[in-house]
Amino acid sequence: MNEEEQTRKLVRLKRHETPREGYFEDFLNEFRERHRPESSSQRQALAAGLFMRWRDRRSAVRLLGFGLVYGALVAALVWLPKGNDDDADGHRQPVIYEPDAGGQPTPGSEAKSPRSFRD
Amino acid sequence: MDVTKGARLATIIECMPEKSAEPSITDEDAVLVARTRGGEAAAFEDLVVKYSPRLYGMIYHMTSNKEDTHDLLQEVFSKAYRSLPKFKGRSSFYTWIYAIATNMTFNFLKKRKRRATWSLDHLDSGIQNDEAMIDLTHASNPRRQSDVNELQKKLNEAMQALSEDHRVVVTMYDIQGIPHAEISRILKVSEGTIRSRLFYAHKQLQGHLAEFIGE
Repeated sequence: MNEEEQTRKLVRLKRHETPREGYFEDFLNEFRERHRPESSSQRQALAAGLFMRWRDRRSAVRLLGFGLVYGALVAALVWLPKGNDDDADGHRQPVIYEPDAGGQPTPGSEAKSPRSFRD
Repeated sequence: MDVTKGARLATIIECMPEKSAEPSITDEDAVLVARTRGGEAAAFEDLVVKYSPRLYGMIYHMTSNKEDTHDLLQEVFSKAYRSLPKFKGRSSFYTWIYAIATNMTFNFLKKRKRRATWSLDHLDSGIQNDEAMIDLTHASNPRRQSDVNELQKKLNEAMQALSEDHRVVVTMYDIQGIPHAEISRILKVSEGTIRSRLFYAHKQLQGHLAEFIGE
């Protein structure tokens, strides 16, 4: 056996250096433990993300609702008075029957005379 | 210690049953990778179980320290887990994770070199922890255990005296039995370079272990 072979044979002794029995089971358990918080925080982050998205969507729906109500109020204030002819008539004076001495209706009054009423 | 003691110990230990050096690279890894990517974390744990002993060996023989090996191995698997979406499958999972482990080990060793407090005293000598080894040596001769410890210490020192490039090829080829071609794929250097590094590493080791090498 030459020197190089003997050297290699000596170095090969190191392959018998192994960790204690049960080391690799413990190693795996530690690996699991180390990654449990990571995956749990990943899950928490995912849940938080979903909640934020849901909250944003809910806010958007609420905002849209407020917008629609506001729009409806504005429309009601702007359009409804113009669109109803009866309201224009509301400026008319009430019909007052005040017979004067001549039995004529007062100027500006649209009230009919009792005579015509009788007709 | 007489010059043939190392060789005699080596002969005794050579008779012990060999641990499988070559991993069985099958489609099983690809399936496990696909399942992990699909969100099944347990599939990755199967890969941890399969590859942790081999990677432990590589990192331990590079660092010669059990605690560092443990921490580094955890980091290697964590990095592999996080990087799995980037794994294209151009190489086998075995080659890919070995490359991650070697790169991380090189980076770790660079940092350790800069640490002033680290010295060869931090080297572990783990061979006496091997039950089969203790039984074998004690049963035949109680003095042999101290010989083994001495040899172990010298081996670790000799390994740490090698450059990292040389140590990694000795670890993979001589200790772990990985073929040149596979080492070449892991380290991304030619097979010629691997052979050359092995040649020079063996020469250097011969110098350090001369007292254990017989005529």
